[in-house]
Amino acid sequence: MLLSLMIFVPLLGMVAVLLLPRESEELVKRVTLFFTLIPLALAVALFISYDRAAAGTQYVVNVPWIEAFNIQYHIGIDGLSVTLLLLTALLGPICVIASWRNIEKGIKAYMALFLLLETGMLGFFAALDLFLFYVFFELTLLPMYFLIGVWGGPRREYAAIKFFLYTLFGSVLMLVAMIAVYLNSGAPGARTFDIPTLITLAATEGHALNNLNFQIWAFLGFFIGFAVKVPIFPFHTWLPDAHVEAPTAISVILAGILLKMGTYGLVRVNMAMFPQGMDFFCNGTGTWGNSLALLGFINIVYGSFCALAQTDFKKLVAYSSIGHMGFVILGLAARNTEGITGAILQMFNHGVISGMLFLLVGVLYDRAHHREINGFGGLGAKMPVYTGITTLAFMASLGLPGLSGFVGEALSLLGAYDKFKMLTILSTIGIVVGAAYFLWTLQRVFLGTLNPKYEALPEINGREILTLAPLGILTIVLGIWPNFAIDMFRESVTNLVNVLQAI
Amino acid sequence: MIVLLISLILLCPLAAFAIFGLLGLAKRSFPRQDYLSTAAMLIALACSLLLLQEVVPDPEPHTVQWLSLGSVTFSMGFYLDSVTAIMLIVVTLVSSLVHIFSMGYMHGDPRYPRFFAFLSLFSFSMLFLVVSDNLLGIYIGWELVGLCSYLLIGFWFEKDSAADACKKAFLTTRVGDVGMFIGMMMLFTKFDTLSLYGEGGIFAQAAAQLSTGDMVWLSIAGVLIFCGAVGKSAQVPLHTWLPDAMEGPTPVSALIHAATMVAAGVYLTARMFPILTETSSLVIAYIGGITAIIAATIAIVRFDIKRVLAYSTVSQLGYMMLGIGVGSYVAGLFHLTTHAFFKALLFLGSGSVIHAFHAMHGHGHDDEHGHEHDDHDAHGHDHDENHGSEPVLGSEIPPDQDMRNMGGLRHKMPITFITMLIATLSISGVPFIFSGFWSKDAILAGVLGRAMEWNSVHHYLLFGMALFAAGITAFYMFRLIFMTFFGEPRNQEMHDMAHESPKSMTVPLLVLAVLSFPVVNTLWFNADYVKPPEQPHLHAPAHAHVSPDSKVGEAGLTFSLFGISEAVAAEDGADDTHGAHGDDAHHGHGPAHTIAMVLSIIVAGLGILLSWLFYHRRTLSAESVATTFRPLYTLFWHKYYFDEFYNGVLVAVTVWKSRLFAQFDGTIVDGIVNGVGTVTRDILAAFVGVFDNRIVDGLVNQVAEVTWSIGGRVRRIQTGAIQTYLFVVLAGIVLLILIFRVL
Amino acid sequence: MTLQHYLVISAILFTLGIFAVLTRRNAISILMGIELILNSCNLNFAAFARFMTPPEDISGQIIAIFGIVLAAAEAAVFLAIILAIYREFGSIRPDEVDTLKG
Repeated sequence: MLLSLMIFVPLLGMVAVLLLPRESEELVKRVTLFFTLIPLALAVALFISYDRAAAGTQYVVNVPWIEAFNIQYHIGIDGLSVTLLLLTALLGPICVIASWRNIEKGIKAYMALFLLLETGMLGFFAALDLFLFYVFFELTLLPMYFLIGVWGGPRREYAAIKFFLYTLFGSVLMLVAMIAVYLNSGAPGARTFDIPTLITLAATEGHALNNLNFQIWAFLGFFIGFAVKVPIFPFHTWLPDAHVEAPTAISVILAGILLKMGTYGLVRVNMAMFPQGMDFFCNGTGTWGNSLALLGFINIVYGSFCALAQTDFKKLVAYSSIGHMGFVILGLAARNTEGITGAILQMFNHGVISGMLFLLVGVLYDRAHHREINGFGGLGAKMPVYTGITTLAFMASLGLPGLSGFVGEALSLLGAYDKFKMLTILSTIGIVVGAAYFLWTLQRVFLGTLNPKYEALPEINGREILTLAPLGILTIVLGIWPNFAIDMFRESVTNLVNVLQAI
Repeated sequence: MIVLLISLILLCPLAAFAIFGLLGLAKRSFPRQDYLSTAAMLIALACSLLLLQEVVPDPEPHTVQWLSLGSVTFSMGFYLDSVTAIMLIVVTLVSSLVHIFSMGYMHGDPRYPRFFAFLSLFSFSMLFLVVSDNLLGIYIGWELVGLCSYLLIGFWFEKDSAADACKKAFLTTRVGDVGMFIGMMMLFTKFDTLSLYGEGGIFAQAAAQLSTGDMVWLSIAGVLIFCGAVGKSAQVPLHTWLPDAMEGPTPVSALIHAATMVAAGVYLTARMFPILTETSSLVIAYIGGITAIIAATIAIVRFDIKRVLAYSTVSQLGYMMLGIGVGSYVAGLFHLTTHAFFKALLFLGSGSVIHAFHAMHGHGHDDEHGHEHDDHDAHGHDHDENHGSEPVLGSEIPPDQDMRNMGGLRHKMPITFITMLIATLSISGVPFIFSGFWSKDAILAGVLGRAMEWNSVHHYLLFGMALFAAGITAFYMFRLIFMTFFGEPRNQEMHDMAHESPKSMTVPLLVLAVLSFPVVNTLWFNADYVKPPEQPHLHAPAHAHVSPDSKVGEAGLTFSLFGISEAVAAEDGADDTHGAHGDDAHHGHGPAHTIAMVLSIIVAGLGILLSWLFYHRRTLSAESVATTFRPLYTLFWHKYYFDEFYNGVLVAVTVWKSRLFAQFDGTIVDGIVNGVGTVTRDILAAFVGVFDNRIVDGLVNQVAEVTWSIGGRVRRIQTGAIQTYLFVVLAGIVLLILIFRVL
Repeated sequence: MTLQHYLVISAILFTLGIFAVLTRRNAISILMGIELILNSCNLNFAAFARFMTPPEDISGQIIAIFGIVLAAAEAAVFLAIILAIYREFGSIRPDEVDTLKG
């Protein structure tokens, strides 16, 4: 009940916002903020009351939905979902506050779509029925399309369409795989979309879902669907465009949550449901045995090098996201405790850190109205607090120990090293290049002599600090005491690793 | 008690920084951040001194579980042995003195509070590194000191050179750190832990394995971990960042880039001593030896007082590495300690000189941009031309750091002069009464002892390198002293304005000067508790034919002065069988030590003599020598072209590669995506369109055609006049009625 | 009075209505013709109800009333359309309004 409430409160909020008169913009914003704060409160409640010692799903609701196809409204959370739900719920109000001043037109529609988006995201992370999962997955697509396409930058339409078509392309394959799974799940009448049931069936010797060939193909279908979202090379080019065009808050959501939907799907479906398919792609032997780790490696190195070449601040952060998601893939490919824990931690931390980075870019953009890195210089003297927070975010992102980015990255690498030695060693190039592009940016924007054009640039204001502070604190706290997050999913990961090692 | 004291040591500086950070968020700052930070450091110093009492021979680490992943756990903890205790004192002592010095030196800087906050953060990180009992903790502290170094080198970030230097420092050390991280991954994969001490620790497990088979991978891991030290301790080939790091304020150079952070590499290598195999030790020794020579030769031709000291630091760090590489554990650490004091003293002294020139320059402390020197008044450039060299990277020397503007300062700044002279005598290895002599000599003796013991060409070569570097060190250090403090003032205008520094600066100098005498060092560096850990390969069977059980440490001093010898000789201590082979040892190492000492005194004397002839008496002309050996001179002047190589090749290639990738991304990958889009939209759609038009639509059109012509005829019925319609309707009805009636 | 009387009257009314609708050149007159036709129908309903069903069954009468209401509504709509046509074409002569001519 708590969970359902959390998922649908933003939807309720959307209705409420739509009922408000168009002119009362302040009211619209306040109502939206209120309706994003409720899920946050509920998420905190979940975080507190979640039983960390139990491995299974909790807060399960399971009622029939479309009985003809045995589809259920089945939701519940395990450690992984609760972590990402918390992240989603946290970023919600932050993004609303970040949108407070810089959305110039149609604030009502914007907020309504934003609330719809939040419902989609929250539902996705809680869904335990494949069909429901898919519905929520697609539900995020639509508002995102409009949020980029209407409120974006100059090339917003191109970016929005690219994003939409790309994701749709992926999700069509996913749909095919999903239907294949459904049709193979049993005799007519006994078929099911229920994820836990399917996982059990897939682990049953002799069942159609247990067949290696089937597992490989189904794995691929889902994988491509999620790979577009993550994004994994070569399906990543929608990301820089979407990020550059999207308004600040939407970039935050895009990088913070939407990318995680891809990796979450990989864990929830690909790993758990198709362990043999997974094994085929990352057991380190055979033609395909290294492919997943290879993709992770490519993401890391390729993303980092591309980031190094960017001169658009936002594009740089976007490419850095590609690089950082590579660590998640690498960690998942390792399929051991360190790797998976590292990957999940990296998902959460990347959500927090990239959220900070995009907010910071937004702060600068709101003041200078451009994002050309070479067009700044010496801002450190003018905006010390802003510079301090940016340095914190950069350092966290480049994996400085003591801040949260390090733990996830290090664990992913540690886990991966066990299985893929060469690839992991080569991936560490990404760490150096990561430091290079962040420091170079820091130098070009903040150090050196002050660009006289920006003599009068105002320092970061209280509202902006309010959006950044929670994320910054989280970055430091999780860097010092990562158990805070790991406690949530330790048992789930142990469980998963046991399943994976059972093959 | 130990945990409490260590926690206090760590928390005090951290709190000082945290207060600054939190208030910073509210855009405020603590009114006396300097007092806060200094007080925190003094408390830490007091605690460190108290901890000296707590050291026990074979301590257990105090750990807590930090990360628990189910089957795998990582712990964090403290480990307090004699080395830790000594390092704690060195760090807190130098740090306290630098804090005090900075109150004078940085006075009036617009970012004065921030400076102290960063110093506090640095002290915390460094102390954390020192007390950590596991590699992960060390790595965390390791990176944090790197961050602080970055922040402090770039403290005057308006200067482009400072901005470049801090980035370079961070990136260069990061390259080494990645190597270290890979090494950690290797160790973790093998041992399933990153804790060093205790039962399941890496050392215990490694010791068990080292006695058995193949240890190639351990050699690789050892060298990889050492990579971290190469970066942090500025060893060749990653040394180029340290001279550039002199862009930071001078107290920072003294604390971070001379006494503590750069020595962390040596500390790490010493910590990893038990798992260093013969191969990795040799690699370390060679890197150290090569670094010592390369840096020393570069130092000869520098004119920037801080750069001379920076290269000297690099060279001395090479020395320490060499010492550890040949197994002279205690000697290496002893040199670390003595070097920390006299090098900090030299840097602070140079700071005092620079400070003396500052006020006069008019853009000193009241200047909004602090110590910025953007108006290059050409002092530096003129002289570059005199020496016939085209300007190279980093060769633009600020006038107040250029030794060619100095001279005769000993009368103006007596305290600075005396203290710096003491430090110079110490680093040059002037015998017996200066600490540097003892520590350097211990290393030399260790190398020679190892060479004689194993009869190893490698080690004889290393000894030659070390000896050569020692001579050069004496030469360039006295060159610095002669050029700065003796002779006639070269720049009368600057000379007139120079003055002795305020008390807050001279007192730390005096304290450090006292610490440059060996007797003081023995207070904490004594034989009772510095014991080298076991390093199995040292008595590996491979060397059995020479001296089965002897240890390098036995090359320690055979005679005693002020107790130092005991410290060095303590390297015997770990070897229980020492007694049995005592005769052997004396045979092998008594002479080794005597030879080493005599030779080192000779080369030091030679260096000083030459320096005196060149730069004081001017019997010999440096310029003519430079002309005679022009290729060599150019090589030194260009710092062996490391920077040129890195900038021209490595950086260029990386940037080129990144452009290439981005191009690839924009044109190929994205091109394919857009291409697919275009193909779908234009070509495919066009093709389908044609098919549709000709075939599918052709049929449809035929149908339409027919319909059209029929319609053309039938439409006439549609008159548009409503009454016609009604009439037709009526007629129809009548017709229907008639039909149905009839039927 | 028998059923026949009513039917005859009704037939006359109907014929008059048809005549008016087909021949008049004024839309208002056509409307009046239509009203006549409708009224003849109503009359038929009422008459049949009165003579062909039991007295308690009054559905015929009710339909007649509906018819009247319908006629009123229809007249209103028709007049509105005529008004619009007049505005558009400046005439209410149906033979001049032949935009739908094929």
